[in-house]
Amino acid sequence: MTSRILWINPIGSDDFDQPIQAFLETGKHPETQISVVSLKRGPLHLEYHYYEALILADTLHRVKQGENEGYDAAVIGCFYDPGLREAREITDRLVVTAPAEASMHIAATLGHRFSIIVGRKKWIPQMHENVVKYGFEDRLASFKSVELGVYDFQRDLAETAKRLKAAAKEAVEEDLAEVIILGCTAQFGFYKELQEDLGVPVIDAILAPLKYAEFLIEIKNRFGWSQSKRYGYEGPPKEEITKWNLEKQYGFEGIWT
Amino acid sequence: MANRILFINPFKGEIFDQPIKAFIEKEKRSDTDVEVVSLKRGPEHLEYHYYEALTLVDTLKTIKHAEKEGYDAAVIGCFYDPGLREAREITNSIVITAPAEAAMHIATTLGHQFSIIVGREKWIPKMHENVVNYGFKEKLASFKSVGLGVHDFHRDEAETAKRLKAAAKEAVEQDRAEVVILGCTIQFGFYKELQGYLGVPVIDAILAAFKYAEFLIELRKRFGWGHSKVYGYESPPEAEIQAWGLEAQYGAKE
Repeated sequence: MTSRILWINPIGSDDFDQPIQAFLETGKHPETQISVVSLKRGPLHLEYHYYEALILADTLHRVKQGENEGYDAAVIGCFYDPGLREAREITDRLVVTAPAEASMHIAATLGHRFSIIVGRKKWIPQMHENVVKYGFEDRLASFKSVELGVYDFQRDLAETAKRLKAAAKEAVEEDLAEVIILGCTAQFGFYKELQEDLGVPVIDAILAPLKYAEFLIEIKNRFGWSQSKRYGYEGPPKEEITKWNLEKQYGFEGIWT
Repeated sequence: MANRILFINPFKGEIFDQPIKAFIEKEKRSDTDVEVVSLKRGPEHLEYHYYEALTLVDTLKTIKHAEKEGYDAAVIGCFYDPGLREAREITNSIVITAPAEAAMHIATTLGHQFSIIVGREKWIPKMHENVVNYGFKEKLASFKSVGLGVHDFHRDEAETAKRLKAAAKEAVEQDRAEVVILGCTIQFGFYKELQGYLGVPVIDAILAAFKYAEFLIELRKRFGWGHSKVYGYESPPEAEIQAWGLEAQYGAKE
């Protein structure tokens, strides 16, 4: 049976939609269909927490809309995993995942410790919080920064590859990382060469959540294992959302009703 | 090409091989082949750590054989995950997983906190070590024991179901578990009814490990993401194993 995955680039630009769609197509299961979308407004990258705060409402409504449209899974395509908790809270019928969560579960299964290669040092504190939150603090060998912004990775591919290699090599040899995670979805396209060069698994932040989403769909469809709706992910009451007129206030008529 | 998975019951006694195979067959992907085997000697359950220590050499031998026979994955079918680290250390072309690891990765994705329902209190200290080892200490709501040994679960299934329900309900209502894990492979067959009763995901230890194995095979075949062979899972030198005559000493050659 065909599974439908909605990939959301949570930024106000469709620049990455086509390249990411093409990249996802190379890794998906034959029975998976993928739609890549981005937001209609907002910042063009999420390197600042303020930008992330701005895009949350649109991202969550896009996920909810995805559920209404019958998607089986949604992936929030940024390594900060923005809105992951909230997305699970407001949905029942689709599963939600995101790059950092998926990559870390995989990495912790493939080796004892992993390093995350980020673009800029700026990103590290919040990503470190996610490492701790997901339970992998003791599995973290290090963060390494290559000092490139989100839009730099695909600009000079040779330079990016060179910097990623140097950082990842340092992570393996000096910090004793057994697995490398590429900590930005815009680092796509580099994992294979890096992996061959280093001789350790290099986890791509797009392919990891794609496969994790397929896995989550499979266990949901077969066994009914999807995000628990007790406690943490208990959904807000629809009556309250209606009574407070939230749809109108935030310009998302029809999402909840 | 079909993916081949070997599910190992790491104890002596074939009594669970067929029921577990039948249980898995219903849920495997169409392009997966599964074999279920058990050991030819040893203890008939692993409720004591001493028993587990005894079985390790045969479990590891079985896995190394499986790798040579071209299996894509092996599952060590006991919730203590016995020999998981060692199995990854001695293999290259096969992925290995086990129930506790797989179930906890799934559970922490589906909810914030989980509880593990075990047979006897005896099991908890070691299983708690695994929770910590896998990184999920902060995600553990509780362990609950139903006071049944491995060979009791299928003796009086109505009684087992009753006890599992009571323990799991307590875990959800009192300990605030959002997901429940059945912490013994021999608790197979109960998750669906429990899940319907509780309204939270109830993770079956066999199905979790099996699906995780399929997932790991997919990652390995498509992207080359297998177990890292540097540091922790670096293999012992074959030359050393030969020079020491370990195969002959431990009867590894069949």
